[in-house]
Amino acid sequence: MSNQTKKILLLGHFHVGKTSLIKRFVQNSFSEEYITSIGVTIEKKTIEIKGQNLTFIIWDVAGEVSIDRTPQNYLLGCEGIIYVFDLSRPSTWENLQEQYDKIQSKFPFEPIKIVGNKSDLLRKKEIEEIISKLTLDVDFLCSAKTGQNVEELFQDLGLSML
Amino acid sequence: MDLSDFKLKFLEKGYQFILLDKSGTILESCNSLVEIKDWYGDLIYEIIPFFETLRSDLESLQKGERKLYPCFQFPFKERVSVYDISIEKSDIQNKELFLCVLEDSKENYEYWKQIQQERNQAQVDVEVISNQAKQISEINKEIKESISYAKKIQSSILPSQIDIEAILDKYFLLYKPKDIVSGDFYWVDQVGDNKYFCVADATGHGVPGAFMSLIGIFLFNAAIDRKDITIPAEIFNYTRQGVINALNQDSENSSLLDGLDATMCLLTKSLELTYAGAYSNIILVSSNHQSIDLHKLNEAGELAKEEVKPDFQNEEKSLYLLKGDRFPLALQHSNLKSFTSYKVQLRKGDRLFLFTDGFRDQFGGKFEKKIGFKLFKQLLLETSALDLKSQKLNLNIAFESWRGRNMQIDDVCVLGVEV
Repeated sequence: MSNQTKKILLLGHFHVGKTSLIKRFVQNSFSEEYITSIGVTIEKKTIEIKGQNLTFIIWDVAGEVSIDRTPQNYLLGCEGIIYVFDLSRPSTWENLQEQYDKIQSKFPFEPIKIVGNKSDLLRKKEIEEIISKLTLDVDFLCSAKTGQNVEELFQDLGLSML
Repeated sequence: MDLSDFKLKFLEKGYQFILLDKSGTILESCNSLVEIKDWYGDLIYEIIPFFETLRSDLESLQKGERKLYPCFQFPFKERVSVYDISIEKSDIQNKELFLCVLEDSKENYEYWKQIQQERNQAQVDVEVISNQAKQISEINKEIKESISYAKKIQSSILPSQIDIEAILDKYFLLYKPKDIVSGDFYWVDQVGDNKYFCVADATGHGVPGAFMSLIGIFLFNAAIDRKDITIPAEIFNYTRQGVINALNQDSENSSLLDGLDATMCLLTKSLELTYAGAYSNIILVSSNHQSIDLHKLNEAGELAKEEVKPDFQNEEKSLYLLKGDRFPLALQHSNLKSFTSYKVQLRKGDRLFLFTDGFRDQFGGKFEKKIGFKLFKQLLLETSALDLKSQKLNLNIAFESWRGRNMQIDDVCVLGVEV
């Protein structure tokens, strides 16, 4: 079985649940308490995809309203990106297209997954209404709280990076 | 410079460092990173994931080039610290080595984190509040639109100006709903030469009041048009039973104690007035300064005569208070008394005033008090020398100047009729 290691970044506004998604993926745990991330924390997890061991080195970058405010050295060597927004906070998805374009200009060849988190806080109809307002396709609707689609998200990203 | 000199130099400055060779092998570190000593000779890329992801970047570093990684949370041996990390490719001991300097900034970042946490939380709170405000504003808009439509319905059910003018020759109507729709309402009808007019105050105001007003109007119409009831007291008896039935007030489980206060007048061609009052009175202003005879139809169906003296007088006119019954058009208690009809002969030029309590209960004036019934009566008497249009105008001015900046507290309805 071959082994590969990939650096991935989680980006998005503050308080959208990036750290919680990572915690759910790596430790399968969740806390309601909001603790602001500062700088970068790194987590590591290996999964098996198509008979290969893929090790994610996940850079949990402190949330900023724009990627321009993220130290550029954090982005070096990144091979996949998860852009997270909070479905319950319009300010985190109102500039989604703009942020996506900026990320894509920096990472034109790397897979970028768009994720709407906190899906447990809204009803199906409300989520559909939000999605209809977006100019981009949302790859996954997740809930770090319930674990909905979290594993699937990382599996899909891994598949795109192989 | 040998390694011990090098180490000393960094320790003096309070920095921590790790020295790596080109392949990432740990050669040296400062003493405070004592745990790293255990891995001297090992590849840093295999020990610390942070470096693992930077391997290709470090290998491509040019001599003298430096990369900075601020605020890096470094979980090491179950202890998390925060470092600003710089990595530089240097010539040390004539070898190309990587010098990784770690500045422990935990204290600064803890302080920064606290500020950031508060800032982020405050911003999220602002967003939540502003979203809630937006939602409330949308709900408010929807409610207002619904109520505005309800106003159209209520207006179409209330008698129009044309309807009133067809029945009452000389009148004014001062109608000031507190909200968009009103619990106060007026009603007119004519059967042959007999003219009926009524002012009523449904419990509450706004939407609940408006619902009650629709029930009231429906029942008044039904009493006269479908049941051929002609006597005001009997119209009220019928209406009261209708309200009780409509709201299931006689059911043990009913919590709806709403009802109507109202006065109903029947005026004949010969200016004989028959009226009934449900928790309401009528005011008569006449140029007759004498006492007037009020004939009361008692429970046995006999007429008993009462003398009503003027309540207020000026040189031109006298004001009489024509009292009604002291119970409303609703279930007050199980032993329901019949309403009483009163008869009084009017003279040409007399003015009748039917009114709800909204005018006299308005707060304001110099001492933020209610207008009160006494001042209300005085106002009616003083303005009765004016033509009806001017009387309405003056009453409205008096009301508004008393109210000043205070909110209107209830619906207002005053119907003035000159016979």
